[in-house]
Order: sequence, then C-alpha cells, then structure tokens
Amino acid sequence: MTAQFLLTLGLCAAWLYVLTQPGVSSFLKLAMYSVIAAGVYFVWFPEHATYLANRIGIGRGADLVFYTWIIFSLGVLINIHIKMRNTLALLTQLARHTAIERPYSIPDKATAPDRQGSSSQAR
Amino acid sequence: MSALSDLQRQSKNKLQHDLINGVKLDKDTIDATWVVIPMFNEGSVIYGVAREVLAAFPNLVVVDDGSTDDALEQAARAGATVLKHPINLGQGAALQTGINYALQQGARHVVTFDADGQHQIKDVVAMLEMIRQENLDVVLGSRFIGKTIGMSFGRRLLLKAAVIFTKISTGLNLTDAHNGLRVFARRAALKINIQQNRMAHASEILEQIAANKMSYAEFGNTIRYTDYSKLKGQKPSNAINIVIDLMVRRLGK
Repeated sequence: MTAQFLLTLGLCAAWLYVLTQPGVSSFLKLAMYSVIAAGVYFVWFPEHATYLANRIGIGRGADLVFYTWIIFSLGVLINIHIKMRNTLALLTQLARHTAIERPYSIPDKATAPDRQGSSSQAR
Repeated sequence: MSALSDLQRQSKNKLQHDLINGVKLDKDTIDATWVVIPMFNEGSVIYGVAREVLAAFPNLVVVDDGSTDDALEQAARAGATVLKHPINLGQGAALQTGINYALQQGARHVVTFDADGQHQIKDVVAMLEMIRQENLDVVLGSRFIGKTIGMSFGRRLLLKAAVIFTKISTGLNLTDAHNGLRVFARRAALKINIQQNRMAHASEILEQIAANKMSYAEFGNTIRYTDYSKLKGQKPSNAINIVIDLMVRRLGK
C-alpha cells in the first residue's frame, strides 16, 4: 500500500509538472495526461494491467507497462531533440546577426607587434 | 597608411595585369569577388593563408567560429575582415555567416576557401574565369580531376564513398563531393541556405545545388595535404555523423 501511495504521489507531481509547462502542444499534453492517468489506474488495479496484457498477447502486466514506458520515453526524446534543434537554429541566427553587425577589429594596443615576431610565439 | 590598406591597394592593381596560370582576370571581377574562410583555432596558419588570399583578392572575410587561440587576432592582423561567432557553432554555420556578409557587401562572386592552407589561389582565379566564361551558377573544386599532394589511401576511399552517396542522394554527377573550394555566382549564393551547422554542410550545399537546378561544373584543383591539415581535417568516423545529421534533417522536414 505504501508503494502505491508513493507511486500515486509521483504521478500526481508529473501531472502538475505537465500542467505548468508553457508552450507544450495540446496534443502532447493530452498524451501525457493519458499516460499518467493510465499509470495511476494500473498502480491501484494491477490485475487489470495483466488482464489487458493477456488480451494483447503480452504475458505480464508489468511488461505491458514497461513497453509502453519505452515508447513514451522515445516520444519524449524526439520532442526534446526537435526543441533543441530549433533552439540551436535560433542561436545560430543570433550569433550570425551579432557577427555581421559587429566585425572584429584589433584593439589599439595590440596593433604594434609584427606577425614575424608573434608567429614564433604562436607556434 | 596601415598594412591593411597597402595590401588591399596592391591587390586591387595586381591581378588585372598579371597572368596566373595563363588566366587573366579583370579588375571588376576581382573587386566584386569575396573570399570566405571559416576558421576554428587556426592561429598558427591563418595569417599566412589570409595574406596569400589578400595578395590576389582585396575582399576577404574570415569567420572565426569561437576560436580559443589567437586566430582572431592573426586574421585581423593579416588584413582580413573578421567576423566572430561568440560560440563554436560549426563550419557550416561559419560558412553561411561569411556568405551572408559577402552578399551584403554586394559580392558578385563568392568563393569558399579552407583556412588550413590546402587550397591554391591560382585555382580560384581559374574557377572565376570558368564561372564567368560559361555563365555558370557554381564551380566546384575537384581533387580527383586535379591533383592531391599527400592524401592517404583511407581518405581517398572515404571521399569516393561520399561521391557515391552524393550521386544517390542528389543525382549530381560529381567526382569530388567534399571539396571546400567553391565559387558561387551571386544568384546562386543567394539561394544557398546552410542549416547543417557542422560538417554535413558540404552535402547540404550539393543538395541545394541539385534542388535549385543550378548550373555547375567541376574544376580540377590541387589539394595540398600537410601534417597540419591532416591533423585538423575530418576523421573517418565523422562520415557516420554526417550521414546521421543528413538523415535527421531529412526526417525533420
């Protein structure tokens, strides 16, 4: 019973987390809520998970939950990847804009040394 | 008068009278050409490479991709226009930044050139002449039509595999798919939009050449592999990363 309460608390926390996330599409939110709701249900009625697993050809309820979790995690991973790629694209645009708007120029103090002298240092 | 201005003045007057490998370029073409060099931690070689370019072409933009050595200062000291990415984004990103800048400055031709000293100015001159004479959109360097100095067997094999991959993925009939020396006419450069920040940009450029039905030709250039360029060049394992990058991008479209 203790484990069931703890798992339910964890899933409720996940629900709150999804609820407070801005910019998540309605479809994704719905999918996440469904998974969490299913999680809570199967925590309290594990025999129903086993029944369902048997109906679709998986031996145990635990396996069904495990496989579902893998698929869900993959979805989350792809979503994170897409977000990261979009962020990188924005970051690139920003860096490009900054670079083009402000070309680099040598600070006055650094103009004196001749390359012949500095090249031996650099190498 | 600063060293930069001297060099620019010299180069403006130099090539229209000189013959390089039997090719003569007029002052207008030279003045309207921008050479783009992306670089990352090339402090030990960029000064020499930039001086060599500036001796022939007054318009050189070096894009520093977040170097941690003194490459930025060396490029500026050589007399190039230097743009700086605040963080390291990759060669593809740096190349696009340089192309955008060159176009903004009114470039009629944009040349992409490697920072490690592999490429030769005489090839750029000949490629510019080719793009003008044949009214092409793009001229691509090919080390397999031209020649290579010091290329390993493994690299040759890898590059040949890239040619086959390019043929399958773009339909372009090329002999060298990953040559950093390219000349774009302005109309073509305007259509190039590199999204692959890292090394897959070479394949992406070819995809865009094919997608936009640009007219192109290959030119046999010379690639000089030095110990330095071998050290800085791509590792064979990068080929896998490039293919993954291209596939992920294609899935994301």
